[in-house]
Amino acid sequence: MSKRLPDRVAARILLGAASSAIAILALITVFIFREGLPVIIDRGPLSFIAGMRWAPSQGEYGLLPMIAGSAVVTAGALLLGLPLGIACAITLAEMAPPRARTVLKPTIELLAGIPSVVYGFIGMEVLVPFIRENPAFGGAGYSALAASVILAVMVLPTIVGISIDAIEAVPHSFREGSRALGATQWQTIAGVVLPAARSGIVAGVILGIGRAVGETMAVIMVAGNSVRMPHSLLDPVRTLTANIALEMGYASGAHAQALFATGIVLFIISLALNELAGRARRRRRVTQTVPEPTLTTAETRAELLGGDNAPPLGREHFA
Amino acid sequence: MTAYTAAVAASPSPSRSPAPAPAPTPSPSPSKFASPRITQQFAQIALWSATALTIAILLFVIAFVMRRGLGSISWSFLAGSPRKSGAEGGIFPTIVSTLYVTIAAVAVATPLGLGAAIYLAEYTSEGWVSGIIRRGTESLAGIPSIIFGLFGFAFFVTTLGLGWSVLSGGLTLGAMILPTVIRTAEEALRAVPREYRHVARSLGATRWDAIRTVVLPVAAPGIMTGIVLGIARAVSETAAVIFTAGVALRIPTSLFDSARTMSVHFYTLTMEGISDSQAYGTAAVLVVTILLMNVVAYTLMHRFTRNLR
Amino acid sequence: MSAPSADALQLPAAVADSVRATGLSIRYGTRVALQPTDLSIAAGTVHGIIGPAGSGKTSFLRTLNLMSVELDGAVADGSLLIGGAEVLAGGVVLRDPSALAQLRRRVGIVFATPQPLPRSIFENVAYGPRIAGVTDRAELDATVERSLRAAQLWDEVADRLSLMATRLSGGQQQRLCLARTLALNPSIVLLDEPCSGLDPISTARIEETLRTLKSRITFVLVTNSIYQAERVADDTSFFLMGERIETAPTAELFARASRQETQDYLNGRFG
Repeated sequence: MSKRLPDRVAARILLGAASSAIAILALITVFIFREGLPVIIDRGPLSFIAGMRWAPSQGEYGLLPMIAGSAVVTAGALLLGLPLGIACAITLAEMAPPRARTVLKPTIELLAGIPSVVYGFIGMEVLVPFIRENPAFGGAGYSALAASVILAVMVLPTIVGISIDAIEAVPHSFREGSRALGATQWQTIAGVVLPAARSGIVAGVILGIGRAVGETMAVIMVAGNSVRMPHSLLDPVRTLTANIALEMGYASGAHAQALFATGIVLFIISLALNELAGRARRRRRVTQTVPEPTLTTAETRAELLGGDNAPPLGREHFA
Repeated sequence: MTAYTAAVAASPSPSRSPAPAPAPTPSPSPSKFASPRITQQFAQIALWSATALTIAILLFVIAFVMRRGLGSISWSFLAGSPRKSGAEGGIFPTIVSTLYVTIAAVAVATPLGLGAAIYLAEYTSEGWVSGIIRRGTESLAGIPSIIFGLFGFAFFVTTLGLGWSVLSGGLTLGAMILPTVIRTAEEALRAVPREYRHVARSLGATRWDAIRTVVLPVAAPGIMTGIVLGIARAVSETAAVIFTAGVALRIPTSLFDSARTMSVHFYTLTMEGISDSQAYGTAAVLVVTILLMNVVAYTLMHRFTRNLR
Repeated sequence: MSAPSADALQLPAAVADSVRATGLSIRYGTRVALQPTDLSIAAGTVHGIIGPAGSGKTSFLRTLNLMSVELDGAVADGSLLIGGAEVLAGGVVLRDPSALAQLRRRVGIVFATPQPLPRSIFENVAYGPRIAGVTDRAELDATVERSLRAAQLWDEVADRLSLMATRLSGGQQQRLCLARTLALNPSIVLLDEPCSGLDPISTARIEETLRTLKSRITFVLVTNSIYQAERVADDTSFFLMGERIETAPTAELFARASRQETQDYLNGRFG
């Protein structure tokens, strides 16, 4: 036979391929830190992260406005996207006829694949003028609000997809038990299903946060990119990601290093978020404890507690 | 799910029960604000509205791009060259650039990703090593694309001296889509019933033989899905590509030529306000391509899982 | 139809092997599936193993080709000789992948549920020889034919060898699995409740194959039907709760079992 690799050789080669992910991660870490660390050490990490002014031409590199920008925009995105996304997930997972769900879930996930530049463009053409001209809002239009809305739309598919999986992973016996005791559908959802799906949904939310924090292009196109500290949702903001992308084209020397240093901060934040999401996912696998249903007496509670343990992991969704 | 929905359908919906009905659903601990019936109705309305809103938003996104962009798409648009920095003419060079960069990315991510997936799915007896590899892959998946852009610039463009090129862009994108390929391929491999492997091994196949002759052929459609999803991701990527492949608006003739992909072109057109109609057209092409890839990926996955039943 | 004799099948000279287990014990984690057991199986016979569920029969069987150790995660101790060659000696002796593959060619196995590979009938049977390095098409054709004949399936599928194996009926699939194993010229074939859920005709055909081929192949048959053991097995062992209770020539065991537990089981007092 022509291609008969001995088993041991094959195993080694595969291990090599598998290590590539770690190798790349290591390389990224090394190079980002190599370029960015000198500036951080030079200025002192505190003055870098907490510094209020970002003025490269004067050699000032304070990241706080950008950190605030990222935080505000992400929080806004969650505020808008989370309730909408979970509501949508509940409807599709629990209330919609199976046919609708089979069509709608992939459709929503499909939309996770639309390029961020397209979202940004729509924001530019539709949302920004709307905010600017609307008497309730005003301002330049390019604002934290615009970025929050766009980001909310962008993380919706992630939150919806993962939440649907988490909800569907809750064993049927939970629902049947609750309904059999006379609870309405909503009482069952709120009191039994959602608490049981909690860690899965949390994992999805954290992943959504990660996506929002890491988003670059769409934010650049609608957020205004001013380096000043934002004081209201209508102020233009600049996020950490935008900071890098906007100035990388022409930066050099210490300026370029400062951008890499921004990258370091971003890198650490996303690794931390990833770790949190991983923990949430793992917790779900290991201890799917039945939460206290809020609507039953003690003895019927015991009945419900007899349900299955750890449901299988739902499929992850990535864009 | 069907059993559940059947039970739901069978239980009387509160809004349909006749007025002089006997005692409503026995609720042991009534809500503080309203009866369970009312909260149920309220919840139903709220949830369905939210869903309608979500879907409407997402459909609006597609419709918006399509309505204005599809008009700009014509054969001359797709096959023609840009004039006046893209204000007029076609986007052919960007299509070619996207193709090259994507092929390069896939060429990198497929062997590495498939190899890693096979290792994670089949060689699990090496406990702690696969744990580390899995954590590393998950971490890699969560890194923002701009960081990949920075990395690609520092490593491929500068240190390795590859310059702004198809190669730099392809390698960077390859690293970026690697976790996607690994994850999907691993799922596909795990979906292959264990019995197939046992049968192959019992007939004298070694572990690698069994993988090569039985598992991989069966898992192939699922693995393809991962690659297609990776392609979709690569095509839509902008931040990582701008700093590695460059922005040269011409057809690249070698791996070392700078290249502007469709998404970068689109970004440039909009940010520099060059041409709205051209921008819409490019966006439409982008969105159609990506949607198509996703549909292909889903059909593949659907057929794959169905064949395994 | 009368079964062809072993010689007429023109099997290359396969030499049946004996099995000799001494102090063989098997555990999964902390759960003991089989307590230290001695058992000798003579070459060229059909050895039946009967007993209720959970008695360790399947664990024992799957250890004979080291599948339990390599694939099920079992830990085996004691000594195991296949055809006089050491396979287990206070821990696994064979670690090299190709040695293990070689063992599996020599000791074939048929599982309880038919497991055809997702390919054609021909390719299913040819799988083993192909992996072993046979590429000559004529040789493969001949091997496939004689294996299918030996498993008493040839007449039913000769004209549609390219049909997907999954389209066959349950009984046909199981005979296909048997043919698959026979294609490798094993000296021992392990059968793990092969006829459970099969129609009586398929069962009869498989049993006929055992009778015909046992001069060249040692068969170890785990079965949950004591009647099947009575029909085909030369010797029978009774396992209960991880222990081999007794072994005797079948007729003797059924007529005059020496242990009470065996009698109770054979009389249907428990199952």
